[in-house]
Amino acid sequence: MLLQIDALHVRYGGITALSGVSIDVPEGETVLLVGANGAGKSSTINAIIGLVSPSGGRIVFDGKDLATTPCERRARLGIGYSPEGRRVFPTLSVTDNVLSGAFGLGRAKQKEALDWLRSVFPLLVDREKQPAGQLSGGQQQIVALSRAMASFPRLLLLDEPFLGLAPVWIQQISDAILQLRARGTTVLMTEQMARPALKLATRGYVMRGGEVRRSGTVSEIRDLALADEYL
Amino acid sequence: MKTSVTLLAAAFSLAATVAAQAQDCTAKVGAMGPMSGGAAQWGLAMAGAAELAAAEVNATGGVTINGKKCKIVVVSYDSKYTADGAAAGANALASEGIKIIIGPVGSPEATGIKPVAARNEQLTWNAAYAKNALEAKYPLVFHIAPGPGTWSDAMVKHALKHFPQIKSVALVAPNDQGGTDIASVDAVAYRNNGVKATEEYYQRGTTNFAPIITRLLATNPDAVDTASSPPGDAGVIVKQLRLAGFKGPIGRMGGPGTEEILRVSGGMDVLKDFYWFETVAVTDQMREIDNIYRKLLGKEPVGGTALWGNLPAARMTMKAIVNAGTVEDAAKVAAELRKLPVEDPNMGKGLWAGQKQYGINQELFFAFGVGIIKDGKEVGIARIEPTN
Amino acid sequence: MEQFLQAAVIGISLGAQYALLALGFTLIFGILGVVNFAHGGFYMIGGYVAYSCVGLLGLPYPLAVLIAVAATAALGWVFELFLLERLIDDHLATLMLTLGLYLIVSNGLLRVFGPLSMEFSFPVSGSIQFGPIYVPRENLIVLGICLSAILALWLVLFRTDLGRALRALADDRQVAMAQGMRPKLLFPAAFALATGLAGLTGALVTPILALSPGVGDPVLATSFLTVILGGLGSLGGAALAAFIVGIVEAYSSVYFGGSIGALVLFTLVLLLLVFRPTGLLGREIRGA
Repeated sequence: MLLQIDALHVRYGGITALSGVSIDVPEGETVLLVGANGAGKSSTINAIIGLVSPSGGRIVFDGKDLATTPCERRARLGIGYSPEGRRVFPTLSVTDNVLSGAFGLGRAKQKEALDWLRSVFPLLVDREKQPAGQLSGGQQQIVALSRAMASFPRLLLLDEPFLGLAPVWIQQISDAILQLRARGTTVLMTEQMARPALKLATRGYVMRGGEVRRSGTVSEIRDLALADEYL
Repeated sequence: MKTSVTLLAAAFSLAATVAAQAQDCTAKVGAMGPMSGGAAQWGLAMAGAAELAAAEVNATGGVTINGKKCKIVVVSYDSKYTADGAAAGANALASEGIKIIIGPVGSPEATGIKPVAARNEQLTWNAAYAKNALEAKYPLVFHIAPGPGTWSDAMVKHALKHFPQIKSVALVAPNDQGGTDIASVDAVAYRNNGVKATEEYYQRGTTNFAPIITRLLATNPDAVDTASSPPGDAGVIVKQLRLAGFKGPIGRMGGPGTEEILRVSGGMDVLKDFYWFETVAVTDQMREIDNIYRKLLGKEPVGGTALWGNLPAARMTMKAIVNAGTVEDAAKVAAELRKLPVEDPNMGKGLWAGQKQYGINQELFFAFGVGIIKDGKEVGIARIEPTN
Repeated sequence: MEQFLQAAVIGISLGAQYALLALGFTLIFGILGVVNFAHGGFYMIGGYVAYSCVGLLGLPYPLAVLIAVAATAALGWVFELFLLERLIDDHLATLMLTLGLYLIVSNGLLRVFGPLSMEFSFPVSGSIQFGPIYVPRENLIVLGICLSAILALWLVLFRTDLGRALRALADDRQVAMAQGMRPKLLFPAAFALATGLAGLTGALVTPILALSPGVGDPVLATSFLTVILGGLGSLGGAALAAFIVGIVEAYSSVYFGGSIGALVLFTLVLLLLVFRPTGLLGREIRGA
């Protein structure tokens, strides 16, 4: 089990965002968290990367309890992060944005990552010098994902990667995720509209109101998601 | 037998009481000036002069007030070179019953203290160069040393003797009262001696004078006078003038600071031709003051020539107090002060001055000095005697 | 005509010096969110350290400048790491801390070195004449060093991992942390970079002008003005604004004199801010 979340509780002031969420992410698999707005998907992702402190429960990554690891050290452990709402670095160029995901890994690794990402996303070549803040929503998503992937992470966290994207971007991203999976990357992703994500996932969890309602293999989840109108 | 013992005992106790009373009687006099910050030297020199003058009087038994011999004690106040500092000081000293103040020092302080001291009926001195350092409506204000209104004419004449080529001069000074009061008076002195004068004022706090220098060199002056610019500024002005190719003489018809100017500008080779105002024309008798200070007060004197320059005012005030027999009636002390001739055992003989410039003759005018550097070599400091 | 050219020469010199100071100031503001009221203090420390090395230890001037840079950078590092870092998100607290540091520095220098100016000259003297225009050799050298430093800073910020990380932290600190960039290591580095620049400027400029415990005061005012004119947090804006400020200051002082000159500069900045409140190159971020 690469990532194990045990009875996670997250509160923002007086509001409970997560109550007792337990999620298992086996190594090499692609796990999908499905749910509507406010279900707790982003809170889960943010707790894993360390931007949010849980008020209860445990997060164990590769056998290590992350409670003592501050946010900025978790990337070093091999966790890549693409936030909800993209959040590219607006004044940095596209290339600089991507390279910032490979911080501290050395010129050689950075070149390897950049070459590979450019082969998957031609946009990164076309707009390489442009400040990322000037790109369209879809283009920024490509940049944010490239940034998350640039360190060839062991665990890739993708928060709503397909939201509002045209099919051509969705296709490029899906291809990139598959290539990473072939290299051994584990993926944990969240989505509201699940259809393209379900094609990639191997197992899933349905979340609502800060809790896990259902879990299972992707085919089990697909039927449930259909029933709950998440498709 | 018993009677003589009783008489003896009575005599002893009477003597003891008298002795005790002489020790108990203190007459307080104030000293004021900046005693912290950039101008601290000047304030400490003011206090030092007051303390020395007081010690001299106390060495002869003190001042007789109401039949008692009293010891003069100096109470210092740090007015921080600001108007409100000096005003607060006057009130603080007044609350201790102090009516005679040696000080404050500078123009802003003089401006601040005059109305407050008048209200408190206190006698004050100041060493300001301001145009209104003395005013007829403040008869209890005295001036320690003259401003440019008194000495600039004699100084221009002396400078022209060494640098006769000067037919035009550009004056540079900060654009507040501390600059304009002096530069404008200097300009008049130049013009009265047939030298064309222009005035260039800068914002206090300027560090780079290259633009100002470009501007004033456009009028092609024969000489540039730094007036009352602070010595740090003047040093930069000199340095940048020479780098801009200006070869004429540089003057300083303003306050002290030649050493600092030499340091900042790069030395006598850079200054080349320079004439400046020295508040005191130093003699060996003046140097004696430091020895007297050490002997009477047991510590090292502070303030150099500034302390010497303040001393006549302090000594004459003590004399006036002794003559008046009071430290509490400022008007009476002032009256005695005005009667005294202007002379000092170390500083020499001087004059009462000020009627022409301020409308009131309450300024001490001693000999001053004009320093000359010619061709990068010190020519010396000429002693100019006071004239009316 | 010669006045015009002379003013241009002076303005460009001033601009380069202001640029070094403004760039450091805006680095700290952009990356740490701190308004460094002690900027003038580091400028003075740079001057006094260089002076001490030359005047008291007899070291050659170029070495003294390097030591001054190292000293101010080290001091900045330590100050950020041990004092600012704890309160980095409390803007009022950091303002008080930097202001307090400035008071300690200027009073400390006053106590140690006294209120009078020091004897501290540039090792190269004399001017070069280009027709009627005089350019002091020291100005040319300092201009060259300033421009080189600006170039070096640009290279660090735009061509190195460190620079990329600093800019990322300035853009979005949370996401930058999530990518593995450590503020606890990088913030002191950013602060030290900025204070080192201020120290360099002090070590270069005080021998040209004067060195006393009051020369740091105008540094803060000019840096602040320049950074606001250029747009808070914008590096390009700071550099551009610095040259504009230097040139306007030179021309208005030459043509209007010392008092009106200062007024012209402030009036121009005021007018510009009325029509363009974010400054010349202030950020317009597209929220996507």
